[in-house]
Amino acid sequence: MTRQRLGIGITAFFLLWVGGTLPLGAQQTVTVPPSVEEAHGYYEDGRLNEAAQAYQSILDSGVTNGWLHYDLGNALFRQGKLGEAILEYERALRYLPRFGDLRHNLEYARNLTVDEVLRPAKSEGVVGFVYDLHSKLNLRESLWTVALLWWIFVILLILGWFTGWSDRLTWLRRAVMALLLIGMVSTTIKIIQFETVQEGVIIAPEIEAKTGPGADYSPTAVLHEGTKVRIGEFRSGWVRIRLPNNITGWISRDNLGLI
Amino acid sequence: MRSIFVHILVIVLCSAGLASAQVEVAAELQNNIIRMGEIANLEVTVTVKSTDINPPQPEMPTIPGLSFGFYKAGAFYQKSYLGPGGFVSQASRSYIYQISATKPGSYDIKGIKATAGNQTATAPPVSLTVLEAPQQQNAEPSHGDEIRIDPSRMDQYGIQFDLRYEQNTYYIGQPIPIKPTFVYPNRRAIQIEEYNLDNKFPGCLVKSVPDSRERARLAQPVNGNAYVADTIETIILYPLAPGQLKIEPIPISYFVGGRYRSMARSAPFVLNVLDVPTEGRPEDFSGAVGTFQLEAGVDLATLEVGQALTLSVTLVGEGNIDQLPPPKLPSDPAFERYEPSTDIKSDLTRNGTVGRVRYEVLMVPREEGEFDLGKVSYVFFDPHKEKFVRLESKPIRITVTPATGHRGERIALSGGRREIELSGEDFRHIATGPKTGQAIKLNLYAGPIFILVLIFPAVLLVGAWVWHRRALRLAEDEGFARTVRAPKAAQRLLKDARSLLEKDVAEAGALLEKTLTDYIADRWTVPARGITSSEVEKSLSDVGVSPEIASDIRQLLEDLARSRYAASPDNDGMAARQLYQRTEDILGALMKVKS
Repeated sequence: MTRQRLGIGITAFFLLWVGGTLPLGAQQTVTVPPSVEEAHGYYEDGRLNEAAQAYQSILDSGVTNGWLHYDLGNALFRQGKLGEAILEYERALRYLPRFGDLRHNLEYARNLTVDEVLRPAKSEGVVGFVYDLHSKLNLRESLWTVALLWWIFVILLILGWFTGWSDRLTWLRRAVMALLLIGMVSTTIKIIQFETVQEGVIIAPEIEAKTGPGADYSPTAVLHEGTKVRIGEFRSGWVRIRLPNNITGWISRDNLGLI
Repeated sequence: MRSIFVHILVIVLCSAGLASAQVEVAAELQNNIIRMGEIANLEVTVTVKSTDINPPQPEMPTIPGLSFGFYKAGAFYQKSYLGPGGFVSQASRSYIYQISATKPGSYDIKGIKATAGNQTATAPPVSLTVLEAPQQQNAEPSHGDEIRIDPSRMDQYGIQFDLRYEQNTYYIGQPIPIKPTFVYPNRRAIQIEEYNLDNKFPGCLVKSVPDSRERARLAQPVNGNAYVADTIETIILYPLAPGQLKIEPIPISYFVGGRYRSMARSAPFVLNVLDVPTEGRPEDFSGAVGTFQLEAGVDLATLEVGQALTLSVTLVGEGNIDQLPPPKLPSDPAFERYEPSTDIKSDLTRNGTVGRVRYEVLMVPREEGEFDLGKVSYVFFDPHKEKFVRLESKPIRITVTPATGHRGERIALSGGRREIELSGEDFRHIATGPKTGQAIKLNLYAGPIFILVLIFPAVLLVGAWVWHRRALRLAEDEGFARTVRAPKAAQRLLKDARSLLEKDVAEAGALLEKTLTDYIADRWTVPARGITSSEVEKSLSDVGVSPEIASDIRQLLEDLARSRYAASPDNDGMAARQLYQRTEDILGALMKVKS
């Protein structure tokens, strides 16, 4: 009887511990991010700092998409944080290359930067059309497009083998094959860029790029917030950067946001 | 299928914002005045208020007397700025055209168009003057234009300064090119300190030709040294009165090699300025000297009473363009005439002034009828040919019809309507909606599902290819088809034979024999007729069947034949089942034999 009571007591204590400590522990370690609607609400109310923090929390929780980066960029821009806003817009652009509002706001913000950076000329004709298609799809869409074209190509091949190659089917197969090849080249370029090319945006109002990785090196250029740079290497808190006009230099890692 | 692609193309083009682009065109001539045989470069800049569209190539007008050749596409610019109406993104590109003329004259190049989407823009007109090709000079031989080296006039550094001129005699109003020129050893460097031509040419209008400095090496060495002639500039004198034009020495100070100061004076000379001849001088000669062409015309040859026409008279050529006396413009009492306007376009070249003068007068007919305004006439003196030349236009005839009043009505009807214009753009709002909360991964290729999505069609393709090849071989290769189908056919016959075991022993035996012989014939592609008990053993041994099995088959075939022709009613069922079992066993053994 005594043993039975002891058993009941231990069980009750365990259940109480489980019931009491687990939620307590959860409250202490897990931070539930605000909902997107909540963040939008802050933005609509003009509480821009809270909106930016809310968007950032959602992004930090692992929910990453172009719209969140765009919204965060807007909240930052309206607070006057030009460099950080452009950084978020650039991040959003990887997800939403066709989103007109994003491009508009990015251009708007770029127009306010001090540094004017060269942009490549537009190509024309077929090359321009293909480049347009290339730049209008994000990596994910490119991958799905290639997968879809691959499926269609396979189905067409199988159809042709078993039903015979009519003129229409042959023409369709060639067209799909051409699109597939273009898609594969475009997607390969995007994957290589995604995996190997690192870019960043200056987020400090004004910084001096140095000739070496340290404050004691002589300056090579003065850069301002919002300027997009290509990243070379990291060394002891410093980053080697390169501008489109081939100016290179080292800047402190703290002054740079990675896209 | 074709229509699907067309639709996709349309969607893509529309998504690029083609239809909503605002387009602007501007045209600029590098040289407004050229001579026959020369080319004028026309730069047409097309600007599109969108960075998604490449500025299109413009459409060039057809102008009699001019031909346009596309030379190259020029620079491409893209920019964004905050305009008065808001944020603007635009792209512009210039296109260079080369214009050549088939006849001299004055041309208005208008109607250069560019279209982007549903918008078309036209460039403002630009004017081009085409002069006659240069004439062979029929003047006296040149004296001063030659470099006359005079060591006595050289300074200590071997430097000489002079004014070069082409001939000694000119007519009043004729341009006199004068070239202040240094002559010095090739290795010297000279910087001019002081040089002033003010009031040095009394009785002349003086003009300096821009960017006219020239440096040329002399063909003959001086004192054994290579010399250069450095023409500082070219100035054009227009003598205003006849007589002797005395050019006094002109001083100039300069540094040699950047350190040594020196000074020189040009040699004095005298030019003769002649008045235009009195002999043969027309009464209406008003003082124009040079070579010119005349064009005259009206913009409307038929018009209504009260409607305005513009009469234009253009003089094109070289001479004292800027001081050219105007021609007598035609008039008629039936026309109300307004004050003429004058438009001069001229270039100062090393040989004088070239260009065109356009006189325009607005005329409004006050009564209807046919009117002959006559010819426009103009007289000038050609100093090269030393004679007076009269130019005459074609007669100008105007038809004036009664006023209808429709024009005013049209204007009234079209009033009050205008295109909707964008008043301004500003920062765009946040994006909301269900998708904003979704996690999106860009590098799908890092996950297994996407890899499977890619690999599965490949596997499917390989499987389909193997199947396809097999189907092809089955269709083309009869032996292969028989070999492949033999087991199934044998199983089917065996099944039929089994159903006959209890009913008809003889028939069952025949079916079992057929099962065996058909299988062997199909499997090894031999004629079924040749498979008899006497030959089967050898045939099977030839295709690699073991002697034991071959022997069993021969024995079975004999037993089956016996069962067909010597069936015993007492033991029919038992014997038949045994035969069936043996056939089944032997078929099983044969199926295991590798070909």
